[in-house]
Amino acid sequence: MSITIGMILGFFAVALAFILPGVGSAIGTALVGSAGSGVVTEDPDKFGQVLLLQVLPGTQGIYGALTGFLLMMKMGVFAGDVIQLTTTEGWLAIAAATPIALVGLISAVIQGKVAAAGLGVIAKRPEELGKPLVFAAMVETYAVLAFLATLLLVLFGIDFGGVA
Amino acid sequence: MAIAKMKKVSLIAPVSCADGIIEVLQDIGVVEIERTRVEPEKYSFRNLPQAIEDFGDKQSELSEILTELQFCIDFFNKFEWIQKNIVEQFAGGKVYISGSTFDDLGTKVEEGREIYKKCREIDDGLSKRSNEKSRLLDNYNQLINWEWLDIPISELTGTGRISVDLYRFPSRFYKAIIAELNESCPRVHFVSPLSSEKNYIPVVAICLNEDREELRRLLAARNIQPEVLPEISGTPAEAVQKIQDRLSVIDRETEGLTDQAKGLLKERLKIYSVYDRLSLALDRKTLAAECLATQTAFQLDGWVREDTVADLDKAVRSKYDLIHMETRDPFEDEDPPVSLENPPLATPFEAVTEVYGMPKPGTIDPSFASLPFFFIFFGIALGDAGYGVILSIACLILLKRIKMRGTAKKLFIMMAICGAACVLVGALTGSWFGDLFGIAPIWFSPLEDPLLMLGVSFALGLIQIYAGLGIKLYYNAKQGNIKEAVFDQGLWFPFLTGFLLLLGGPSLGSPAIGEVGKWMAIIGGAGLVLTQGRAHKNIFRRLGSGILSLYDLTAYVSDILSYSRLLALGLASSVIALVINDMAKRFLEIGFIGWVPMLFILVVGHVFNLAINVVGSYVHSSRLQYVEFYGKFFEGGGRRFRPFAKKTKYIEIVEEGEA
Repeated sequence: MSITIGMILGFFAVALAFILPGVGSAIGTALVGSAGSGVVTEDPDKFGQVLLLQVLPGTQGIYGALTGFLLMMKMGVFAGDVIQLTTTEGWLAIAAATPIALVGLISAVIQGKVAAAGLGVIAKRPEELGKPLVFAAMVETYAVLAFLATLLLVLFGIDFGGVA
Repeated sequence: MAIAKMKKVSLIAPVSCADGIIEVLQDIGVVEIERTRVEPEKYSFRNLPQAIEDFGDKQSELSEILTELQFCIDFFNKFEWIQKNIVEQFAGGKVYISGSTFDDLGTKVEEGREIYKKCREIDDGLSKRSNEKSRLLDNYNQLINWEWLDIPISELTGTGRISVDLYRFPSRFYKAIIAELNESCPRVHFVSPLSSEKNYIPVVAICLNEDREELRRLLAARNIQPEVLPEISGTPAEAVQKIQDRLSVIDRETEGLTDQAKGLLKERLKIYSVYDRLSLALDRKTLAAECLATQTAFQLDGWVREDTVADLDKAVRSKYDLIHMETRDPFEDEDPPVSLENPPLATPFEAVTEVYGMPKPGTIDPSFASLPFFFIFFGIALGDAGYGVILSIACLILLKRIKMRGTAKKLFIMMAICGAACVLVGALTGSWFGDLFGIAPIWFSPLEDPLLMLGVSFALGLIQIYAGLGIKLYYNAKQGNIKEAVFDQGLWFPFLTGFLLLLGGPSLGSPAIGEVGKWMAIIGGAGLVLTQGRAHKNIFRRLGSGILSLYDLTAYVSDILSYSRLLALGLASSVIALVINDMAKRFLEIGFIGWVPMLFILVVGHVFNLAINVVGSYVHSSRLQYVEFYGKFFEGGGRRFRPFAKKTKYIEIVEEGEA
């Protein structure tokens, strides 16, 4: 099997989809988790509520991973026979992964900050949990939209001739 | 369907009945008490506690006992922490006992105080011993260095002319220090153990009194200070032995005390009961402070839902007949609390509104209107029939196992209902744990035709936006604001519809539709331009504001686009499910043994996917209500109705037999 530049670019697209939103989500959830430990120290029974806020910035990483899996399917990685992409096709894959890669990275970090700020609500007025959740979800809107763009691009814009 | 009608209730009764009546109110739990409004200079009112003798004492006594009991509860938690599971953390886990058990245990105040004394005694004993232990350990660590010294500690003080000092030299510099000192203070004699494995070598320095200053100065320059041994009789070795003996005694005693404390743990339920019973009593006393009283009578004002007035009347009058109770509608300037009132199926969906905040009194409760939208949005966002079944069953089990109240209870019932929406959507789109069973969709699969799903999402969004506008229109019309209803909401219907038809007409393959849309948009738009500036007198400013109002179109369009999240969330959960199934099924290639890892991956993977996506579906379905729907008509700022009721911290009173 000979390796083409297109394949390298295609793999790079998969890597981007996994790495950038994954890093963003890791930072975002870490922000909430480390601040949340303070809340849980005061009242261990608030663990569940803190966890709920912590998972929110985690979704970008999942969107990224999902994009990565879809690209791998398109490239025939699971079929055990990687399609020899042309350079143009490789760039196409990178372009399609870009929305969720970039928006996922940045929105996850920022969403983590919003969610961490929401921990104050949980500490002082746990009955108002819904409100910080919605604040954090506002940020996620843009990650959802970017993911939608990537998803449609990957599902319909890309056909390398593999089984998807 | 709406905000419950509130009545203001006033109750006047003899002060002698005050305690009893307040207890009845607490039992029935339908009245929110409000401080009575009077002009003080007009009447010589006092508050109820002042009217009842020794009332204040009781209140402070109650607080004191509650503090004691709280100490016991914290003390017990140190020995046996009761772990609340993750659902109890949201719903509040309490101990379930029957009313008779609660009354039986809860009245044992004196026993509770006895238990407190024991707890306190044990706690004091434990902390005394732990302090002594750490002090002894310090001494031990110091003395262990001097164990080789065969002289009683009390004799290490020197004589009239000779002084004795104890030092510890760093082993590395030991020789250097000795050499230096031998040179500068040749009359000092050093004694140290024959061998020392440690980082420091203990040294006894014996010298004439007049050399002592010089020696200390030289060593201080090297940051070495003389040590003072604790005053214990006997040689250091004997002292070490004594400390060891004492430490083992302390350990034994600590163990004994801990056992005693664990023996008290069985009293936990009693302490909980007494605590909650007394805190209920304290609530009543605190409430009484809100009431006004004369020498003989007191007055209590509050809010009550119209549909519970009869219950209240019955409950109070069945016990006391010498009372005057009247109810009336709220005055214009009064701000009644808000309680939502809906048919049984819609009641759980009040949770959506309650999380957002209560509507202003006299406005619209959106819970009922949200119901179909939240239901179907949640279904699309989670989008899997298998997940729906699991979600419903899990919620129902939890509701059965854990007593919940208020918003938490509504939320779990709502989730159980929304599980049905997932089954519906999952069946339509052929998603049962992804493609695990290969069941064909009744309608279509969003994975194969996502554009259709996107269209469905937008269409549902459009319906909700129209519904929101419609509600506002209806509300304005009902309030008699016909102009607002027609101009501010009514005109948007043709304008928005026309605009969308104009946009979508060509792709629907019918230019005629586009043509109709064009004219609808023009008529609606013209109407908006002409009416939206009506607040201004100047004709140019009028038209200017009118034209600017068309800019709101972007807000409506972005509202509609926001519903595309439904497609994205639905695809996310179904694609993850596909990936899980795909990974799991690959293990079948390795033969029969592959079933084990396959099942493992399926269970763990789907549970993970479900958990993550339930949160996402809930949050995003809520957001679509709050921003895109409520934004059209909701007026917030209501104060939640919080009736005076039995609020317990540890005990949940349940029917006999359920405990």
